[in-house]
Amino acid sequence: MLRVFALVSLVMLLISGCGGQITGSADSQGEKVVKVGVLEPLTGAIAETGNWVANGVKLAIENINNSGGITINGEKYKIKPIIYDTATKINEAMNGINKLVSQDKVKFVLGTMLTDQTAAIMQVAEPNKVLVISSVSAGDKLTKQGWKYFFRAAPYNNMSIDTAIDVCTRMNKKKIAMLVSNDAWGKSYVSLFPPAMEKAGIEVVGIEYYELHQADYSTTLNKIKSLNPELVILGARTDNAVAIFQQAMQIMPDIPLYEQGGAIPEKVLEALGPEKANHLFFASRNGPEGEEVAKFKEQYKKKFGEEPFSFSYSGYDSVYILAAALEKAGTIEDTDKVREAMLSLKYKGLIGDYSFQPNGEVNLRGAIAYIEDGKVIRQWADQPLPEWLK
Amino acid sequence: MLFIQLVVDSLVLGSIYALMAIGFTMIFGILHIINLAHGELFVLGAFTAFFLVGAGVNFILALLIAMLVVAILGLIMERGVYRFIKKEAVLNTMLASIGLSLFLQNVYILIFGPQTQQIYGSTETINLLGIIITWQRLILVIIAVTVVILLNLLVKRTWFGKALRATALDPQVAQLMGIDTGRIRAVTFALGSALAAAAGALLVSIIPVSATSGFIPATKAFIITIFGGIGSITGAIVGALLLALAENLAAGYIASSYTNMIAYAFLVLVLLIRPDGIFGRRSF
Amino acid sequence: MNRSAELKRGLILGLVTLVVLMMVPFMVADEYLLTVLNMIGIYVILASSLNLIVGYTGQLSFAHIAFFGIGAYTSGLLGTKLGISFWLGLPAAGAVAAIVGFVVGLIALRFGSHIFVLVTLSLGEIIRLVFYNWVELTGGPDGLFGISRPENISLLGITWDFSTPAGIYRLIMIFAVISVIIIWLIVRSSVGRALIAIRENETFAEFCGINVWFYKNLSFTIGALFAGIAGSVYAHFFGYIAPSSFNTMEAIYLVLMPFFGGIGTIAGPIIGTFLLISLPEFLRVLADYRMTIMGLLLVLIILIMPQGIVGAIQSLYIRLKAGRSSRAEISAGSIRVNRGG
Repeated sequence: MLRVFALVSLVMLLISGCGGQITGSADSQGEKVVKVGVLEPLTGAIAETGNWVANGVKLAIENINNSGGITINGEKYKIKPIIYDTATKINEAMNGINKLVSQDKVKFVLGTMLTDQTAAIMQVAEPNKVLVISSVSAGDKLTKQGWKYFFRAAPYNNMSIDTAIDVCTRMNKKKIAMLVSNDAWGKSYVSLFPPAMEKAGIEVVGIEYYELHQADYSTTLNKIKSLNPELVILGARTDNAVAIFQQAMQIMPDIPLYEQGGAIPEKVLEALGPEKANHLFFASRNGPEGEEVAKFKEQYKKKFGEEPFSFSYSGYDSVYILAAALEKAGTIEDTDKVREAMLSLKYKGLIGDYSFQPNGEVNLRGAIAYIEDGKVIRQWADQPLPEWLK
Repeated sequence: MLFIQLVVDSLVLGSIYALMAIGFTMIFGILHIINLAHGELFVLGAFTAFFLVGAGVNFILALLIAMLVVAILGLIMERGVYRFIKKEAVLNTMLASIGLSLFLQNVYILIFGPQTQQIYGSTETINLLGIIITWQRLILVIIAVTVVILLNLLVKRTWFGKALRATALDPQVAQLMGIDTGRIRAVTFALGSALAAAAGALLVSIIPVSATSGFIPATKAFIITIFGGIGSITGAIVGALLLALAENLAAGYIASSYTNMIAYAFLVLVLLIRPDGIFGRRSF
Repeated sequence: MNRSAELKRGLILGLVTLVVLMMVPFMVADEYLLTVLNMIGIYVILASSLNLIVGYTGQLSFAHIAFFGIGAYTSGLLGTKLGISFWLGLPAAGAVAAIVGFVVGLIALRFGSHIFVLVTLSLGEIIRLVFYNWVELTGGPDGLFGISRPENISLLGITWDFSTPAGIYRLIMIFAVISVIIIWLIVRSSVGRALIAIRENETFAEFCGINVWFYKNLSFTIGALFAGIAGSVYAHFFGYIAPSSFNTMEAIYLVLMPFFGGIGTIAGPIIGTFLLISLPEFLRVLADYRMTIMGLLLVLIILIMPQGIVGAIQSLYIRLKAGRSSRAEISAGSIRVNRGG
């Protein structure tokens, strides 16, 4: 019995020693490459969205490489992605970042889309001066930790709040209620919205939670109705949003709902049909979709066989932002120089116009989307609102 | 009035939970298998129905085909894996089921992709005495009830049903009586799987389902089974309806973010009072 | 071999293992490998203590991950909110986890194996939901930031710096080895014998005068204590914790570790943990197929080696030794449903 134990421990140590060789990174074939790590949940509960982001990243890297790569000090470098799955587990994210930093020796990482996983990988990235760009994580705490090497290139919670307040004010709504999901996202809204709203002179008459698996919202909606809000701030992903919109139309047809960017308007339109979905409005992660977006959509559809959503735009943008910063800094080794380049960078992406604050937070223009005549229309939040919305 | 609306809505969700739970409790009661891969059977039922309806097949037909397809998968599971694990090693079968669950979930991601799918049907509603319900949900309840009635007939009135109950009561005596218990076990597993498929097909018509959606329904089926009493179909139905009701009531009347704990706390409390579940250790 | 010789041999073996492990950072500078070994070390403590509950009393607990979480949050919160040193936070974490474990045990241990599973799962989920919902205290789903490494200590004239990868690695390995040794000592003692008796046949054990209720509670509480300690180490090693590390998926994954390796043995949880943590890393090259293969492997192991890997090795060893006939009954391994339990 103890012999087994001894034998086994020895084997363990041997294998762990050899582990490095087996998983060591391969050399490039004489081509100049800059390695970029990509960490996203590709399996597990959030796999769908994680893959959207990763696909956007892949397409961007392909496009850049096909047009020769990025130019650093007159030399052309191709981007070599090293993609690891975090399986929606923090420990996996940790292992992933450690592997990228120690074995694959990357200095730049794109990811993750989840706030808690991003926070976890920063524990390793920051001390190792590895620059991380997350194009989806929306948790506000991420830019409050004093990290120098973290950049958030994504619409984040506080931003949504400012946009919401702006829209409510222009719609002249003074009393609002909130309906949010009983999860991380919903909770973050509940802790952030009410104080900001009160400060802006808007009364929050009630806050209701719903469970993600909930199919019936009649009690909740009736409760909200009894509080007489002029508008309801809704935080819901597509599936819940569709059901909530449907039931709200029956229960409280006179109270508009303003969904805070969790639902995909195109999918809501598909689910409800143009008649029912008419005049629904949402906060949008991305602004008006011009030629660049149309081109991207075509390429994406060709490569992946489905329509892309804003999460893919984000993945795509993150690569180009990094590329721009690398070119501006003129180095792929000195992350401090790249960091400085990021801070003075201005990039026009699919989502909007990016620039960054000293704490790594992004400056993006808020956007809204609405459904009119069977089409999803996006505009900047500070542009004039359509007549029927006022 | 509100309360009644809530009850009616709980009926819809509850009937789907019931189909899941009945399948689970049958498998648990007769084969003594805690099949945590039950959720993956459910998901396959949902996907099969989704793709068939997308190809233009009538919903009811799609449902039946889905049930058949998943029944076959269930058979493969039972004959291919569970048969080889000793009946007494309940926890070993449970762990094997975890492995199957992990395997199937990821195979689904490889085949179907990680996307969520949903069958978008008509959202027309009818107003019955002041209660609003969509046609779709009404039909859902009718289908679920029909399935349960048919199952009940099968179990109480047919020879197969008798053999089933005999095997549940005492496998050895059943064998002495000439019943091929191995075959009964396999068919029971297939039947339980088919019920999970039905639940999945019905659910995907109102809520999106993805490759990883199976875990929560499986856990609920487990909870309902224990709550209602292992092996008891009546217990599964009652438990399912009660769980759906509790979830809706909690979401409606308790505006706290702690509502997600209610199902679990409720279960533990009930078990402390009635350790064998509400309907006790009844076998059919 | 008599008992005291066995005891001596075991302790020497433990010491040797510890020394070898301490040497590793001199040979391996790769931080990634050290981190994987660190994870293995922490989860070995978890798996071995879970094994006390599962392997030696025959009860499958899904609440263990919650005790891990309680240890992590206790120690993490004491550190970040009150500035309390890890060295005090650690025993506090163990104590709090033990108390919670005791209460959970009081509720859950009344039930037979199937329902016990569900009750521990429910109670574990409730605990996780507290981490998740009590935002003011725990930071909620966004997690707890800024947990510092253990403060450096000076022993025998040498300063141990735990901010370095090698430093924290050595600390974790020391904790892991000591925990395993303590658990081994418990198993060898009369307490351990009582636990094995309960696992084999609860009714008979009761008949022999063993206070089954007391011993079940004892093993559950001790298990929770170790889980809490592992949690504290985890929190101070990672620097950041979030409720998602303690959910049902993780609870299930944790249970698999002693099972893969072989429950009811000392080496089993170590091997199982090692495999379940290192295999997904080795399989990273297979990217998309990684988890599919893990699931398949799990099913195969249960089918082929229900006693786990150690059990399989043991029966192989005995069969080779015995030569032909008489298949020796391996007492370590398969769980049986307790009749009348």
